[in-house]
Amino acid sequence: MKDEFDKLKKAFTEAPEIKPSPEAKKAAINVAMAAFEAEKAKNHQGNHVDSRLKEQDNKLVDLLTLSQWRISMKKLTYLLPGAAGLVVLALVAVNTHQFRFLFPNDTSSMVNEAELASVKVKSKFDTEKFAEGASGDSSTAPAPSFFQSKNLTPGEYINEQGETVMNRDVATAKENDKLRQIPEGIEPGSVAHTMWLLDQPETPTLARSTPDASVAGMIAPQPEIMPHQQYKEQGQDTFTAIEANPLKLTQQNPVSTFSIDVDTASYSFVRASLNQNLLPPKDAVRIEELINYFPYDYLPPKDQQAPFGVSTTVMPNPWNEHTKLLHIGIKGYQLPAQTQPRANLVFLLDTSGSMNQPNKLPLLKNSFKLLLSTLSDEDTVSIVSYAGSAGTVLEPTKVKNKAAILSALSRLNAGGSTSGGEGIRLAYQLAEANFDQNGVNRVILATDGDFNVGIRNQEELKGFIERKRNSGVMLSVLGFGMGNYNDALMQTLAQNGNGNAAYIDSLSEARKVLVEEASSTLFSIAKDVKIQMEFNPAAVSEYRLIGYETRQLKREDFNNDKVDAGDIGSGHSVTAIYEITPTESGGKRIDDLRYQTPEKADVSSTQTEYGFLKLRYKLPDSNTSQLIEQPVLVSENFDTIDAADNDVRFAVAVAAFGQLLRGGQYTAEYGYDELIQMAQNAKGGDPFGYRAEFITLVRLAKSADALQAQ
Amino acid sequence: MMITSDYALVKKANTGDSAAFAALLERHYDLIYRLAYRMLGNQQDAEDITQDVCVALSHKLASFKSNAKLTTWLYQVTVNTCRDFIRCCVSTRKTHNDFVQINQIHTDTQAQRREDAALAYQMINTLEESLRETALLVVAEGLNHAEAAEILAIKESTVSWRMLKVRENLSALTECEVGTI
Repeated sequence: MKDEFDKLKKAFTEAPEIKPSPEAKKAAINVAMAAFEAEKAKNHQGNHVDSRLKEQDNKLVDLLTLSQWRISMKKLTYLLPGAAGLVVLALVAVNTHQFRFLFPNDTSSMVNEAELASVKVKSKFDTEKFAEGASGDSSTAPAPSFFQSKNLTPGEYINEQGETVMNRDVATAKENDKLRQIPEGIEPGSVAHTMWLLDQPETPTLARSTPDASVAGMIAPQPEIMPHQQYKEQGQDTFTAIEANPLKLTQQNPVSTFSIDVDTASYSFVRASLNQNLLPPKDAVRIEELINYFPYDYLPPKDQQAPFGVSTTVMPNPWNEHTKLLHIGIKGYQLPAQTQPRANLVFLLDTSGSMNQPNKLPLLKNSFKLLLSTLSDEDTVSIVSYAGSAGTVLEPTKVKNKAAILSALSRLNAGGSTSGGEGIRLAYQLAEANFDQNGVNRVILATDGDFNVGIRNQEELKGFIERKRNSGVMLSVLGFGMGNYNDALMQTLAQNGNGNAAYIDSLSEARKVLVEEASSTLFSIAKDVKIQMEFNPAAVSEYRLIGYETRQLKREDFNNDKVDAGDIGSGHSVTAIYEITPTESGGKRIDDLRYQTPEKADVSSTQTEYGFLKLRYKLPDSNTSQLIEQPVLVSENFDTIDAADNDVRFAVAVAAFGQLLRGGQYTAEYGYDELIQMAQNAKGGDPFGYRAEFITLVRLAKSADALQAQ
Repeated sequence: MMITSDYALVKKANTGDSAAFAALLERHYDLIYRLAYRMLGNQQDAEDITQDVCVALSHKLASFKSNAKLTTWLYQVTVNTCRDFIRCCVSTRKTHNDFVQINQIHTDTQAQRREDAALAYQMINTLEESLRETALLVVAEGLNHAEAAEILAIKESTVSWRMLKVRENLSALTECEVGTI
């Protein structure tokens, strides 16, 4: 034991010295000196905090006014490293956060916050970058440091209520300052004007520096101001690349096998992206998740023997007159509220530093409050949080003791790195310790997926989750945040842990997933649901599955109960759509071979069927699968699009949308306008307004697409 | 030439003497940076935090109590600043990678030492925050328990207890590493 510790100690003593870079040191000292001078100046201007400085102040009268100080800053800039003369100083964004931040625990200091609200000068090595930034490319502007939020000018501070307040003395001084002599090269009034502009928190024009918002202009020849907008993570979302399912020849590949997918994460992500007027990255668009986001009233199971009903529809294809669409709708049995099993839920909440954004942890907390309202009193809830290390925040507690749960939730704060692997382990442990044989045992993981400590190898995590699957504990993954969202990891977790994944971008999405669809999110009625479609070469020459790229299974996996597949929750609906080319339709896209004549299929017996549909599923507590089979009859074919159900047509519209977002490889001339028209007609009742929202999204995509094309 | 004491410099700086303030910064920048680097694990963050501490000192110095040692007080300020930075903002993706990266340039022994140090940081980073802070001050900075206690504003006995925990954790860690092989 002693060995380890001594080794550690030795490692530290012998480690090469930690030397700061001389440039950084010089820059820091310069900046600190500037702040020191500013401090003196401010004290002089009627600040009553430190009486010792008063005498000194008298001597400084008229020497170190604020504007004087700015001149000294000007000199100072030339001393700073980097491109001389291009150095940019920003008058600065100091916020309460920063004050508290710098001296959080120090009560001995009676330093007035206003006094602290001096000036943070950002110079350092960013100078070169700034010079580039000044030439108009805002993307090269460096990310603001970790203090971001309100811009305050010297003398302002934020009171306990979070309002911006101007220290009266400083305010007066500032008024006077306007009348004082202003250094040459600066238009009278511009300083005050600029400072006033800086006062406006979150003014969008400020983020991109406009010439008259340039504080830098009065100091350095290159006018550019530090961008003070809220720091946004971007471009770090991780998605698995998706290659669209190719068109297949029925002759060669008559069988298509895949696992169902009830996740909805992709739709919410696409929405969040479009709401920012950006087309989502192609790989973020998983068409099946877009389609399955919406509830559909497909035919429910006839009796309780089968957990779900299956219906098929064949209809004309809106984007290709030669082909048809085969729509497969699956509707899960809805558990009546009284018979819903007890739930043993372990919330695994990510409280790492990366979650410290309004659309992450705070949204997460509110989402869970919503979920609490849907649980019954006897359900059990525990909370594990993980950041640098994982810990149990709330031991298993009955929901009726709501106060304890809420107070545990409110204690959560974001900070530190993300040891997600450890958290998952702990959560499963808790769920197993409190295992309810007759109930639902589920770990609900809420994170932005940015696991950076502990097990972070996807394969390793996957292995762990797979092993845990057999213990009967299920997993739901709720994704939060954009810009640093690790979709790939979330999918891996949900797909391998008998679970589902949703992406929460707003409180209304949280309401959808955790309140309106709580029963389907929490209670699964069938697991490992696989679909196998065999096409009849006599009736269908080519086919293509729309979406489900990440859910493809091998043909032999269909009958192998060891192979994992997706789950269906209570009341869930799942849709799969094939584009099929009937023989003799003239729409064949793959040419016949010259040297081989295709075998003639046995036409006589099966021309009445497009194909044969098989489904395998397991009941939640069973390990052997059951089979549902039914033919897809040519006679069920609808002659016009409008003849099909609202639900079917709407699903087709969503499928078209997904394909357009992914580049429209197969959609020919079909465009957003036709799509909107079709979705409008198929809107139906739309009690929650999801479909109306979809139409809005299509419009947004249309404009975003047009913008991008320019 | 006699070296002016920290205390004298602080006193001068507090009357507005820029040269005295500059001298203090010059003298103690390295210490602040070193601690920040150890706590944050990468150069960029350490430089930022050190600069922030320096800037803060300009208004903060007046509150320094002369009965304390200046370095102890600086440690205190730096620990608090880093602590809050870690809690609110840091994403420790690149923690202590710098240590490993630089090592190619150096000779074998030195490279070995660097690797050892990187490993040491890795081990220390597995500790819970309060233990980690304490271990950094005592083991890496070589302070005694009383000094560490003053900096962290806790009892000396707590420091001793934490160090015991650190030892336990470290040995558990190595056992578990051996176990997995």
